[in-house]
Amino acid sequence: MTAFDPLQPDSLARTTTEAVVSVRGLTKVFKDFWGRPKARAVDNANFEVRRGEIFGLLGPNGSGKSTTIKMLLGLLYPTKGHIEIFGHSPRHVKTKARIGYLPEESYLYRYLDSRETLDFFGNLFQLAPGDRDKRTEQLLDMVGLSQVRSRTVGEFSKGMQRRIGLAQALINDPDLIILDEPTAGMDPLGCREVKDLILALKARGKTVILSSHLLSDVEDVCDRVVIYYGGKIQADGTLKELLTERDSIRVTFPSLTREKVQGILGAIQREVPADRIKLDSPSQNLESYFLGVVNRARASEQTAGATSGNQVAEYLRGSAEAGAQQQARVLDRLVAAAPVAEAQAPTVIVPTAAELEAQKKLAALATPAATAPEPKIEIAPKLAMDEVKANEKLANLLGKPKS
Amino acid sequence: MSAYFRILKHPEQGLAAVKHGFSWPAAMLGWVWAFARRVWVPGLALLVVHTALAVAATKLFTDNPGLLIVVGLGLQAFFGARANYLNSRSYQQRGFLYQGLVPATSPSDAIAKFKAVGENIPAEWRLGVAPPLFSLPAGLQQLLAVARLTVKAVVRYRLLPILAVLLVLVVVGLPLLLKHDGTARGLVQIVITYTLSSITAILGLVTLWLATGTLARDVEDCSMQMIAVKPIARWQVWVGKWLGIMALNLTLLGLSGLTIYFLIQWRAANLPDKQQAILKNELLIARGSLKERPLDLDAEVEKNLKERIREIGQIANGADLKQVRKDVKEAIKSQYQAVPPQTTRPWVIETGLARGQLENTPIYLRVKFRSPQYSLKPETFATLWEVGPPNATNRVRISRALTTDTFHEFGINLLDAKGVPVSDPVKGGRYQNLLAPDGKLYIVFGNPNPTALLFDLDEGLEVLYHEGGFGLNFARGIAILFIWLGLLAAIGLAGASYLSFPVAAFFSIAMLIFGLSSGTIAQVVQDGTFGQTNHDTGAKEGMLGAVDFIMVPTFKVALGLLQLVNSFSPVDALSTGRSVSWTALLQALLQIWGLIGGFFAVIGIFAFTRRELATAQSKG
Repeated sequence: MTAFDPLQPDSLARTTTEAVVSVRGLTKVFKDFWGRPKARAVDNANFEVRRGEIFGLLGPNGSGKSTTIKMLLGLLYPTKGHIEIFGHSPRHVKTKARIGYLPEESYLYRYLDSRETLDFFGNLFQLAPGDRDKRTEQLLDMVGLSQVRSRTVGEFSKGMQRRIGLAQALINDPDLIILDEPTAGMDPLGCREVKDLILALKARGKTVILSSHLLSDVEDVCDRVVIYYGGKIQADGTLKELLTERDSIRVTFPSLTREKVQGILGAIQREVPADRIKLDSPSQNLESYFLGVVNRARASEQTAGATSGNQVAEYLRGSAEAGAQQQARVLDRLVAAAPVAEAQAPTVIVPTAAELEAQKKLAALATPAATAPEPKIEIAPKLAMDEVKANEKLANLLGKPKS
Repeated sequence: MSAYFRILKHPEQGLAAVKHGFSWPAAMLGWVWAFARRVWVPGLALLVVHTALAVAATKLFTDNPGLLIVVGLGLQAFFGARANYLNSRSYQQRGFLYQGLVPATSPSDAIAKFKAVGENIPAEWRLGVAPPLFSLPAGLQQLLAVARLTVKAVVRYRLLPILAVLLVLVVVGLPLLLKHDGTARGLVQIVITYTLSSITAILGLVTLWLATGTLARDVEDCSMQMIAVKPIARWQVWVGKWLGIMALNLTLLGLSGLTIYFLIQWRAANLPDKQQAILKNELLIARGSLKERPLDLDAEVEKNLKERIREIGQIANGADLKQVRKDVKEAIKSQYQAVPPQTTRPWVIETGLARGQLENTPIYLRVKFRSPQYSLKPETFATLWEVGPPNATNRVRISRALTTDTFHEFGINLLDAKGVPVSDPVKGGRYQNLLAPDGKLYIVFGNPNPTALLFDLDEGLEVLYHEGGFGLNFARGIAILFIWLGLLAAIGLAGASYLSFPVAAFFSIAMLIFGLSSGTIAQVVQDGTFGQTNHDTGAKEGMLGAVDFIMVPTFKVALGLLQLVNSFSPVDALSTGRSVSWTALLQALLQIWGLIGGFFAVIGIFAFTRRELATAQSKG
């Protein structure tokens, strides 16, 4: 699967067919003290995660997501089935040097401060002292904990604990990052930063496995997902495959006079029944609005808590390219992305009954305009917005993507 | 050469710069520097240590200048290495926020540079990292990281200060609380026996607690998951934890030992001259021990039995040969042990490699005997001793009245300055060479009493000779205690490798109690039953057949294992001026760590490696 997908930022173009994680017939049965089966947490799961993709694990509580992740990490052993990570067993020690893991809760040592925490995990990855210190500083800066480095993790808020947890997951510059509920407990700013970071990591060819209850998180960043229920995989595929309704088309264009809109609608109504047509005005979502407010306030305020994260750590951006060159590359890539996107088919939406009500407000929505620019088809508005915002923030931090 | 300075900023007080790395002023000035910099707690701690050292120095500087200098310099160097970090922490505790690391020539230069850039702090300053003071070999890095983490847990949870206070109370408080009888032996009994035993008991229990807690709790609160997903083998985590606990034990036991060492030297200065001479010659010394070559009683039993069978022709049907052997063995043993009235009993001691030491150093006999007559209280008997080469003219004759069932020590080659034999060591005294040309020491005991006296084969007579100084001997004794603690740490970790904390703690304590029950176990093995033995008939009573069938052989094996651990008695040796030899230390290392500790380590690591570190949880 290498086709360009306009739904996904940066698309799956960098995803290769090389399987980083391969799961076959995975089954986990928890047993009681006497060895009697107690619960079948995972039942015959099969999936592959390919290099460079963001892979989502979805499912309600108790569906088997975390159990699967723990088996991938070698913390639980499968009752049946087979797991390979980078071609090795999950218990292969050296393979773990290529994995970063953020658990669903803070399992960090509460008596260590944030710097000591990163230093400790850096030591476990056998990083040289200079490299370790450098990465520690960069990660603390990236997750916005530089100024509270002497506070112990036990004193942190849940969001701050997620941040330091995320930092430790990245200290080894992993090729596979497993994130279990990465945005749990984070403020919207932090959530956005995490999602931006995930996209930045993908841009470097990293593979990410993301487990989350927040469907918006998954939708924003994931290339492919599996949906668990009752320990079984109920659905899997790319988001496009799963979400696209191929019998609908969304068209967005600037405001026009009522007559022109009715003319366009008239043309459409000749082909489609009126009750199948939806008309509304695009609105900014709350997340975007919130980020705008906070970003404006950020420059002048000081906080005793976590500050906003800064640049993605230099080593995560990929070597020592000059910042200006990096920016140029990022911008080039973004500029290049637009025409390609324009050539694609329009985005489809799923009209709902409530949305059909909007048709009745047609007259009110169509307002007169002095000039009537040519209508244009906007491709994946949410995607474009996310990408622009991500790159405003990551303007000089996305390094040269791995091919 | 420019240094690196941490820049810290306070909303009201402005900027401060703290140098990164070693602080010479702190190393030189110690607590004065700390108070001047408002680093109160470390400064106060250092002041307390300085005061303690100063008090010790008034008594000990003349005798132990080297040791005091090493301790003092080490302390100052450690403080110098940590001082700037402590200073930086102190600033942050007062509301300063870290801004960056600036290369500069002085604090004022660093602040000036920082001010010059305004709000646009360069990334290399904000993220700047100073070069490390030193780096570790990569292979040890993970192990030591886990070890440091274990130590930090103890320190941060404030167990270390509590433990330190407890040890100080024992080491300093116990000798002050218990008044000795004014003799050298009384002083040693209190300062070494009581305090060292108490310290070992405290550290032993704490070691078990820590070892079970550090692993079991990490697994229970899921912190271990964060380590297990990193490229570190489980055995390294296990060994790292063990190293951390042992680092704590090394520090605490080392400091306690050092304090005891200084304390006894200090308090010895207050003893009368005669007691000081005893202390120097008999107690604060490392005396080697020589005994008669062990007799092969079993061979003699077989020889006697064969002769007897040959005499009688054949064995009667139903004869209990086992019982016969036992009786014969007892009979032979009593022949060697008993010295009938008006007879003598010789001992020939082979000196081997110790020959040189016995020729010109004090030699003591350590004897213990009993009387076959039943008595509630020790009885006193006259004893005659003759030591020296057979038929030589310079044989030493000693006559002493000694009591039964008590260890007695007396010098046999002590001379005064003029060469006249004396019973107790004197200043400027010399020592007579009593060895035969073949290097053997011949000792004869004469029993002038109307009753027989019994000298136990194992502990009836021992020759003690000067082998080395007290300092090193004390260090070796402490090292054996440290080895014991290492075993306890391994037991605790082994339990926690598969069990939850309370169960692991129970397991560890059970193992400790089992280890301390070697006397009972030995008795069961000796009697061959869990029931009682009729001492008149030797028959087993209240026998539990099936239990005995299984448990007696089990106890026999357990006793063998326990003897590998319990055959060392460093506290007893140190308090009686006996040598804890390098061989004993090596033997302890091999037996306690190599065999028993290794067994627990293998079991523990195997279990920990197989263990699933996550459990079924409600999420996901």
